[in-house]
Amino acid sequence: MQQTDLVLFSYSSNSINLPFFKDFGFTSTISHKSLDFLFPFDDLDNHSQAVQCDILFLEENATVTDAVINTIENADNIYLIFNNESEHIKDRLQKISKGKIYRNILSKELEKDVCIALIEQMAQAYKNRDKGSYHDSLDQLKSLFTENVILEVKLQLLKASSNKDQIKTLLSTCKDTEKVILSKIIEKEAIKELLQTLSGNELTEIEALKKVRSKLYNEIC
Amino acid sequence: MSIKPILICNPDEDLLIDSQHFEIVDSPNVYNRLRNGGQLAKAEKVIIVAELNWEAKKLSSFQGFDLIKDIRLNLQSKNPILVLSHLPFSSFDFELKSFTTGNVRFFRDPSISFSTLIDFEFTPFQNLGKCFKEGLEDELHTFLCERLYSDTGYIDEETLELHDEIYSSNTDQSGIDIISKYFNKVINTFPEKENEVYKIRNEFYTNIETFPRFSNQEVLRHIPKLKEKINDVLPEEEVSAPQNNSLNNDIRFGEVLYVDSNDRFGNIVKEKLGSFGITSRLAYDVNEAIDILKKDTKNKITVLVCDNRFFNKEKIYNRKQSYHISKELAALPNIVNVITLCGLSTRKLASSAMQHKRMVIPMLKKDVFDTPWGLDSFCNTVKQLNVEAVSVIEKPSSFTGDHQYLYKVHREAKDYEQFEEDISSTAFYFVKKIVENGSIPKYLLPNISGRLGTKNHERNLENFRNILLARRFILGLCQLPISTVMRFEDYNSNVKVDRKDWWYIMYNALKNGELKLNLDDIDEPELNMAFNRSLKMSLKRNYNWQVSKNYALTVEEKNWLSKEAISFAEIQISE
Repeated sequence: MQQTDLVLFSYSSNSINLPFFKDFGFTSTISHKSLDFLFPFDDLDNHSQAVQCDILFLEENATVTDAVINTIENADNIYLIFNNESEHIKDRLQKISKGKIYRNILSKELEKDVCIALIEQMAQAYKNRDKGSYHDSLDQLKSLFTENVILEVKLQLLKASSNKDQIKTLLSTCKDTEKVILSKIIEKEAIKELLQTLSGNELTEIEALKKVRSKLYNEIC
Repeated sequence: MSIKPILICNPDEDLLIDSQHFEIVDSPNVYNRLRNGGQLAKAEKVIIVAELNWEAKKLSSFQGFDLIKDIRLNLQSKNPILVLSHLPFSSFDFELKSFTTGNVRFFRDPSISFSTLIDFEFTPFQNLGKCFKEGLEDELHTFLCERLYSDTGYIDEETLELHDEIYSSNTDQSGIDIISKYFNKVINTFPEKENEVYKIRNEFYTNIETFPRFSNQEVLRHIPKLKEKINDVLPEEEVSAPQNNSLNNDIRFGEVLYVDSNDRFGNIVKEKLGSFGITSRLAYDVNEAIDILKKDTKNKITVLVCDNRFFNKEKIYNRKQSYHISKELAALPNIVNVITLCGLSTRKLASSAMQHKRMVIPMLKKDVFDTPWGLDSFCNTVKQLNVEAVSVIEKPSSFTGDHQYLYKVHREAKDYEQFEEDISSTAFYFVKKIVENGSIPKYLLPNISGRLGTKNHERNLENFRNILLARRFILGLCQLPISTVMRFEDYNSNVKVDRKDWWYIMYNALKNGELKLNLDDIDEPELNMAFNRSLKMSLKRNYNWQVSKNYALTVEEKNWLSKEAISFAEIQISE
């Protein structure tokens, strides 16, 4: 049997203005989308038994209907991205113990940023009806849960910090769309500055180099 | 010249590689060369970068930790190891609150120390010694190999800990955290079994009705089942026991009995043999030794070390003691090799030993305790004799193929002693009851037609143990006089009972639980098959212990017969 994965994005009403919602074509009124790989879930929907979708957007105060529960229970793996303050939904979702549930929750700062960036990419692809890159982004999103992608990138950065050439290549490649995680980390002002100092020729003394590197360590970890 | 510390790192770690103080290992090839050359095992200090990307592995898989396992478990190194990492120590999630990769658990090894790479690069070489901790002691090393470095051993330990933690935690809510941590640990150890473990976790949660809140009592109730399921899923690990213990596995049943009135020598021998992993027992004099040997019905003692001459309590030489002990030993079914320590010429001793057809090795006591090499060569001889005796015990000539293998498995099983006691008493009970009443309930009888070569090892062992019980039962019946066995038939002493009739009765007793000559119901090929193939007993013999003691029986059976001989004679026929 084919394995179905479900990404569950739980957000608060404050973050409704996230850029990608518009790209997905969501409006304030609830509607069933014609493209079957997405589904917003802000309010009651009693019509459908279970929804076939890759991503389920679930608002903080939304009522968890039978359809939602059916959808969740039909999925093999559930990846939960958590973008709100309340533990309410997390609790409710954990109560669903029927079926094969493999819950994974992302709620850390950087991870959330990367997730949102990836979903944004997906929304872009959705808007352009580009199914290929849509699924690429979706796979990347899932790999955040299953593999230690973020840690890997952090380690690559730290390892490169002793080598000027490596930093330069990292700085130049971070603009690729594929390297969302790297660019998200480098985007931070403090880290960017430090990396540029390291890649420049100003640092000649070992002690100074050490200071800059330990600052970088503190920023990244 | 002292050996340089070995530094295992990535090939592009420029700052580290430039250093002249280390032997650099920057690729799998170099690593294997040092590993096979033995330098790695000998190295007093090993430094490992945790994030290796040899062979294009990911940095976050922490390949360095796998090398630690290799060094500790396969190379048997007990020396301190320093782990370097780009990440600070606090960023390692030891509790595994969420799932991470890498065998971070090895940090529990008390001789592994940690430093960040950046600190290490600026530590002067002279201060390097401070970064290392003490090496491991032997016992701790063995313990860690079994319980930390071995994957399945670690999970066993964690399951125990899970039980304890839940037992001692007060609030009900903390239970779920503890359980999810446990599952994280299992997946971390066996990432390839991820899906199966998640399935087990979901089943586990589903079984708890009030999920996600539950009482500790309820969780505790489910843990034994959880443990079983986890064990079913996990792969069977090849037991890579420490090298100095590998020999011990062969001689697990060998014990040494040292007889000497002088405690000092006894304790020296005990300590020395203990370092080889051989258990030894001390006896003060010959009578005590004979007592111990007679009680040793499982033949655990395989080597006996005694003096040729003993002082008795009045400080008078008691010359016949050595003769006495070897005579007593000859009467026992146990297989015991003897080393005799003496002060004089060994020729006479050897000739006296030949009389009892036992392997007796004479040694000069002076040599053993007063020369530097003496004790070592003594221990080696003991070890060798031990191995020989055990190999004889484990290969009773009546068993071949599956039987022989399973017999060995049976002896090494955890419940061996318990089971031996069980079948000893059960078989005797059967014999007694069948003689008294003429029959026993059929469902009690052992099943001897089970297969021994299936893929299910536990089932094989169970079937084989049924055979062992059946053998005991038959052997017990063989000890009884013919008039007792035939008392339910029209038997008078003038009629000679055919051997075949005798075996028909035996087989009927085993098959139907009746002490009757039931010629109609049993055909000859079936009988032959049951005894020759399944039970490995010969129909040509009568197996009476009083007549001959040289039958091809196992040590336990011989001991059982000699122990119960009187009881068999006393079985009364109730009128």
